[in-house]
Amino acid sequence: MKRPVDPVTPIVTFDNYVIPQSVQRKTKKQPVLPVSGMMAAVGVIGMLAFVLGIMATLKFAGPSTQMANSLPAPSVTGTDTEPGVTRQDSADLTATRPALMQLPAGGQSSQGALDASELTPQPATMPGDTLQMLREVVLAGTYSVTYQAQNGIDRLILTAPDLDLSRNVTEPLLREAIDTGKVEIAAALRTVNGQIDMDTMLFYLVQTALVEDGTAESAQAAQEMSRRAFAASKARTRLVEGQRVYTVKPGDSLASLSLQFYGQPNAFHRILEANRAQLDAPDAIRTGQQLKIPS
Amino acid sequence: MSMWTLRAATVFIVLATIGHAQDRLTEAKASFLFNGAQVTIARDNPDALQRAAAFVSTGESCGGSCIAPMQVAAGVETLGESEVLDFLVSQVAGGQGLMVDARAPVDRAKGFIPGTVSLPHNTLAPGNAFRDEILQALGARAFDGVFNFADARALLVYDNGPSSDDSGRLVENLLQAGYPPEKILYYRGGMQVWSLLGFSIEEGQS
Repeated sequence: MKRPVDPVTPIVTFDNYVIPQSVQRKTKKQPVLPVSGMMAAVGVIGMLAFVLGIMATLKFAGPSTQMANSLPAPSVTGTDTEPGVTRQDSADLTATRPALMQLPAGGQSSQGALDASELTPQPATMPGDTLQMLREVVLAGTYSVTYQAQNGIDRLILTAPDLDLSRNVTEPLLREAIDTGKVEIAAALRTVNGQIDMDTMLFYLVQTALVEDGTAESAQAAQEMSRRAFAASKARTRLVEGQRVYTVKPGDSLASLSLQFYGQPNAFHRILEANRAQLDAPDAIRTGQQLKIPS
Repeated sequence: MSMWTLRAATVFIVLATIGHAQDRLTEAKASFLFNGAQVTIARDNPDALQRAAAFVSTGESCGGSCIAPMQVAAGVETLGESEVLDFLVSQVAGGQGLMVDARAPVDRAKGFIPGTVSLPHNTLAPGNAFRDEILQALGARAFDGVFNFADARALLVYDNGPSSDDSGRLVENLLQAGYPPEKILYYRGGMQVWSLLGFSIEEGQS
């Protein structure tokens, strides 16, 4: 017998049934990988073995390929260059390799000379140039002042992405500046162990060069350098009767403290004056001294 | 025989569980010096429920019923009550840290956590004339419009509780001023949870 159609209850089919919002909102279940703990452990060990294998391969294959590449170089002894040869000819070092191989040993080779000059690093640029370039970088603002802690010694250093400011580049420049008497605050640049605070001296040389320019733009750049150095410092003081007191640490110089608290290395007189009882000279700074930092 | 072994093992496990639970709970007590006065905090308020009623807010700034997130800002840690007590004893007493009340003075007058100071969130809004002075009072060093926060105190921020955004605004203003997030902490429970648990509450001006 056929069931009579109920006129009140609407017929619900899958086509017109709307899933309620509350049900739709259900969060999706994350598909769980059927991996047991044992399988995962085996997988991890396998991966480690694979990575170690690759590392070992690289370790053994590395030096041999490097040696193969550099072998032809010693056979080339030529030093004079031919004007006809351009840099583009040797832009790709591997491209010149077959030509080098064919050369007789000990033969004068213009190509070889060019190749050698590309392989050996250029001698460090003239100190004056580095300072000039650094000045430009500071004027353009494309540098940063970062805080570095090395071997328990904290310092502020200048870094510029397109300028090599490593020690071997800056040290000759700084030595020359001292030798020629350009550094008037030399005593304040002595660290607690009597060494010269190279990092702070670089700030000093660039800042004084900018100030000596006498232009508004340079003065602004020097000011901005001060702001960045001040903000980057991590030097900590404690308050003693409302006065900031700093405990001298290894590697500190009076100029470096001045840079961190006043934004410029040559404001060290303020610290010197406030601590006359302990400091009779700028280079009398010693580890553990409690120096008042006037604000 | 095996019955006894089983019973002994059960007793042992139950005792061990109790011992472990007791290790996790710490005493809800703190006593420290703040501004030259001894501050004592305990969990012994007999009319905790009535006190809590004062902090259950009705009209909130979002225009309805709102709730604060567990993490108030990236890099800012959220603390519970026992960590708050630790902070008060170790940081506030030593002067390296401050617990600050982000609420307006009107709300603070209804009651506050002892050993805390008032720092309404709008006092650190970017346009406020006293912002720089307040930052220096918190330990920041100022030079030519920039701040150095190496000496700045650790701040534990709280407000009425999870239904309030005063802490959120204060933290936002602090971060905007350059305050390092690792020097900011957030007590999300605020006065609502603090009072409900029966912790000591101070009243009046401070």
